[in-house]
Amino acid sequence: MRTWQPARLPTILLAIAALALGTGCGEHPGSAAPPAGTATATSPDPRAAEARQAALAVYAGYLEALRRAESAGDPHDPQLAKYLADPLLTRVRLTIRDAKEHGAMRTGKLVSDPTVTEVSLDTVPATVTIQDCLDTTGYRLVYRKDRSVVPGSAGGRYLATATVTRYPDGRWLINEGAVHKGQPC
Amino acid sequence: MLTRRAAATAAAAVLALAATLVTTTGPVAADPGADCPPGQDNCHVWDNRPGSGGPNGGNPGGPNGGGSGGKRVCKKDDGTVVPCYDELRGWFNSADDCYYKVADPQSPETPPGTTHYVRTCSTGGLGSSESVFLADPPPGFDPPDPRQLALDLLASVPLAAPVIRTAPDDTPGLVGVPVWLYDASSWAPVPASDSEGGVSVWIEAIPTKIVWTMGDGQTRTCESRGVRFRADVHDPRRPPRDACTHTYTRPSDGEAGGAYVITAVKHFTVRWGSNGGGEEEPLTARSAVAEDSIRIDELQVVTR
Repeated sequence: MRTWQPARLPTILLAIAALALGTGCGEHPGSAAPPAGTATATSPDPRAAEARQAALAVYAGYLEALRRAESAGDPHDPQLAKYLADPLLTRVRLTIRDAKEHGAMRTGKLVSDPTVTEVSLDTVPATVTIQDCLDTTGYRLVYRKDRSVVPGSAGGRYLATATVTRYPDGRWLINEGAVHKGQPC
Repeated sequence: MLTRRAAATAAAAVLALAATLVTTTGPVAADPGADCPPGQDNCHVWDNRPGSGGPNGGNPGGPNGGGSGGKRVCKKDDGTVVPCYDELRGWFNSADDCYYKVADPQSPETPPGTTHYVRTCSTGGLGSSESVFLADPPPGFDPPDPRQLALDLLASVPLAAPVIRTAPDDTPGLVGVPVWLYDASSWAPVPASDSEGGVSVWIEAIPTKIVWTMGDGQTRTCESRGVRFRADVHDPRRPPRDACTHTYTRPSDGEAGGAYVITAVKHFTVRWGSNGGGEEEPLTARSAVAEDSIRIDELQVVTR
């Protein structure tokens, strides 16, 4: 909770500024991707801004945890469970184990540029949807033995989506997510 | 910026595209519906390539990974023997050749009366792990009983016995003067956790009271460790409220050894829970018994 408090003030100021300017079809300063068709698009709600930030932090945490777990070949890396929930957690772990059992690991850099596409706080559970043009070009699947790239495993820039869900204990966790190989970006 | 409808259309398009890709680019995905997780492109790259674990989907997480499932033999429809328990996928259900594990954590969308499972159906590499909500565990789902696991864990956790400090200590006490009872052992909660066969349990043993038997047929129950007597601060006859005291009415010279035997046992309430069911009704536990003795003399007439 405390972590996000510094973020509140600017949000409130933004809200005041927006009110003073008289909103409507005007621009939404500072909102990267105002979701269409949700209440949060028209009323800059500090809760929504908080949720957005929390979700982006969780998504970034996931990518970092993923990178570490994949380079260590450890499907049980406890960091994964800090950011992920089932069924995505199981899928990610299985993928890590799969590579490990084939003598491979992932190494290199993931380039991420996420945006929030939807914030839905009035649903149960509350969710935030993230989309990312995730660049895995420099994130290679290599054989541990000689670091040679596993054939057929070239990366690229593809649209990735993730659903960050708020759990009853207050944690935001990614429970669904996928890279869409059919959608280069 | 995607509206819901646009997203749905896009998703449909992706599915259609994925389906085309599968048919056109050769041995890629066995299951077109199973997109790879973000950052894990080409998660299907191993499909149809034998791994070190062979066609069974790899190493079953240790030979006795399943605990209670260790003795069973699990077979797929085609007769292949597979591990009954896999540490990542859970328990094998021979009715549908899929593995099931209890989702961690449970989805907030889990309908009441059901449990959220992750079902993984695959023959080789990465399958699709999906959520299913079931009222009853699927066939073959045989995890250890969480309560038993918690009890075993509790039995393995050392619960510190009381460390008895009485006042007076070196000198005999007196009839009619409160004996101060104090437990110098730790009263901090004792946490522990364990997991087996896909079941994780945690316990937290919290000291709640200490029961003293005083050797004269009386018992004293105190809800705290008591107050340690300090001669420079306390008047032995005026113990503060949170002190734990006992006043003898007879001297101890009639007892064996000429002293009263004191025992103390700490009682704990043990909170516990598991990944499947959240927090449960607490258990109770006791420490080992600590023993001490105290001499009590007749009150002498003191003149000032």
